[in-house]
Amino acid sequence: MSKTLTIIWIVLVLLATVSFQIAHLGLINKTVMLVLALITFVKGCLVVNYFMDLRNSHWIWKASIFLYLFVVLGIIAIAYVRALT
Amino acid sequence: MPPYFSWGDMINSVSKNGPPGDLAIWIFILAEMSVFGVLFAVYAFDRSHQVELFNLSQATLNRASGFINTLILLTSSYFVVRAVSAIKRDDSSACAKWLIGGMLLGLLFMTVKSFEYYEEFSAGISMDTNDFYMFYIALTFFHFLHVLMGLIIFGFILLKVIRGGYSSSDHHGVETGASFWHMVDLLWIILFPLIYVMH
Repeated sequence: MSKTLTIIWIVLVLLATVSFQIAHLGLINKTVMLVLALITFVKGCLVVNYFMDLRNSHWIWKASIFLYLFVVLGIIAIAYVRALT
Repeated sequence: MPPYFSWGDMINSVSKNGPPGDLAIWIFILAEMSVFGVLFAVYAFDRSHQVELFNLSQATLNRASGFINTLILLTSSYFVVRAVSAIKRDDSSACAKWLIGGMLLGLLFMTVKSFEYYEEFSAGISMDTNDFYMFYIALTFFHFLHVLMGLIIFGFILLKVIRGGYSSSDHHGVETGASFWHMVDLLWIILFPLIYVMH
């Protein structure tokens, strides 16, 4: 189990580094914006499943947090893409 | 007999397979996340009306500090999840060590953020400067207070762990504190790209 948690932590650090590098390189367009939102969603799902340990909880608990991430990141992505156009 | 839906069965199943820690903390977590969610959405839509102003103001932020703090919180969350694993194995000593590590990283997060605030406030930036800084200071300071709250909760949990108050059969308190801390991490995972990266 501790090996899985360590791998998850490494993946989270790598995804955060990718987001930071995207900002550092100044890459900004609709696709990049959606990629950033997707990276954030994946990071959120990893934290919810493995760190918060909701994997074995009733689906309603997981669905609540996943829905939250989907809706909040969706609203942010729509607002940013709208601003780009 | 066709399968039928029963609210009673559903409620029983939800409470039997509940999330780790106290149910009350999960109601608090969902409430806190909703408040932050509304603030994130308002920030994004306000920005869409003042893109230039938000981009210029965002460029003044210390993005490296934001990134370092992201790594610090992710690592702190990892330490805390290892503390929970340790107590489930009845290893109070390892649990205390991982918790102390997580708390020290929490303190480091607050130190880095404080230096960032000091630089910004010294440059004359305040909540009144413009809408971007108003959101930036409000969101990050609200989050900062949650980190502080998490550290206080962990302080009490650590004392109980050191006194041998938790075991593999009774570690509800450690899981409750850990769940709160992971929420703090989860919120920063959204806050970092929103405030520092997306422009």
